[in-house]
Amino acid sequence: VSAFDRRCDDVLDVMTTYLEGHMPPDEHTRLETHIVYCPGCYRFMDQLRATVETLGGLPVEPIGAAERGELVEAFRAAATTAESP
Amino acid sequence: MVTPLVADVMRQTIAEALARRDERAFVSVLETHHGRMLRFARVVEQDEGVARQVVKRAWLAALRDGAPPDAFPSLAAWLFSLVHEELRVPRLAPSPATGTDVDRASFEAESDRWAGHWRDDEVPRAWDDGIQARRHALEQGLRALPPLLAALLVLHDVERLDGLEITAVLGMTRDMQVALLHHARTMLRRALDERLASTVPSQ
Repeated sequence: VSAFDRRCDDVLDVMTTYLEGHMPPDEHTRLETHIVYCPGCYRFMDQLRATVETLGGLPVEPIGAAERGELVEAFRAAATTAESP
Repeated sequence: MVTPLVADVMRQTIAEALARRDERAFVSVLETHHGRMLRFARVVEQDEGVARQVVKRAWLAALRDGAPPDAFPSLAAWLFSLVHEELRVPRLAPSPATGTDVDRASFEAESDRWAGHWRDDEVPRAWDDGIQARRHALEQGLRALPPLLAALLVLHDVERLDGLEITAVLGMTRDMQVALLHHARTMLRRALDERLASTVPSQ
């Protein structure tokens, strides 16, 4: 299999399928062969992967005291309503 | 994503907390999900005050209803759907853009022997960045995406919801999720590239 029997613009189109592990094995091998020898596709894949990894690592902001207080009050009111006949 | 058994127990957490007046159980749900719901709201709603109000209204709806309808696969999916309803994200266009978001001029022309391959001067450049710079650029890039694509990226890549959960929140088929996910990721990569690409040409 030649590393360049697939066009780069076609390789880019299936990178998410590859990253999600949904690619059939033979196509998987062809894609990896291309990427190993193609600096442009290698870097694009690396950046796409970095984008997904950075998304997965975004921090979560803890709830603020004021919002927490408001929502706990709403919970108390809802619990009281739920209890009423 | 959690196992189906745990998800099934968790679905009723708010309703049971209300029934038992178990404030601690509710606070635990609040602390687990509030920041995630706010992060979801922020990528669609640019106004911080409005985003916070959206999340508050979603919580009030959750307290009113107590538990998700049977169709919802998880508590998280339901809470995100309540935020999504409040955000009024525009519906999917009849023929949404899909495929890779990349400038087609980056590739050799059809008449060239190397048609469809990177032009030498268009090979992506390395990114000059640290993790903080990348996160900052990414948060800016997310907010600049079309709302539906930003919502999909947050649910799939940030929150790691599965296809069934995303369908429950966005009402989008799995095939469409996959098609739009690639387009959204490559749009975001491009946004990062515009902010982080080295000024030094690639070797």
